[in-house]
Amino acid sequence: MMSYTPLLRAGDAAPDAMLTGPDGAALRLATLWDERPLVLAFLRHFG
Amino acid sequence: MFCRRALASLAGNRNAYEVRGARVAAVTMGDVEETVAFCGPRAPGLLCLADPKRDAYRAYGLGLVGAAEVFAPSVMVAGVQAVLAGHTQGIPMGETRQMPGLFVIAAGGRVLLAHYSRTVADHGDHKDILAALG
Repeated sequence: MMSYTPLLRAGDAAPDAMLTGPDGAALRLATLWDERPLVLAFLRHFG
Repeated sequence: MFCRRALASLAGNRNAYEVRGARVAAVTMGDVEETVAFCGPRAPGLLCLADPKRDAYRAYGLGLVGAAEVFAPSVMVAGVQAVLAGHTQGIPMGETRQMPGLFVIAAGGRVLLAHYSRTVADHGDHKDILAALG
């Protein structure tokens, strides 16, 4: 069904990335999992 | 409509994840204003992050949609179900071909669950998240 190959699997190191928080400040993703697990959902477009 | 349903599911199950010690975050392709406008009313208090250049989407290997992910019969059924549940279709923003995905990451940065959506209607399973969190 899927037309692309998944990059990550369980056990892999999670990629870090710079995102922007709701206050407009830059936020490093890795800071969200430094002490606690993280449930991270990537959404599709806003439609 | 599927992104709205996914956000509602995440917000509705957020407490179940947080009692297991997890943080919960959603990433959108919008800028900060668009992200706040989208998430604020639908998921109050949920951390929503803006990634308008889709750097994080690419870093996590989330691909672009193909015909198989859009025209699957399961997508049509899920679309009807989403509308009936009140998750109507809005005006698409960002890269409309972008596929979603769901990840559970352990403290320290190891991937516990990597869910690559099989169709545009697939946003992962709550039970799989709970199982990954243990």
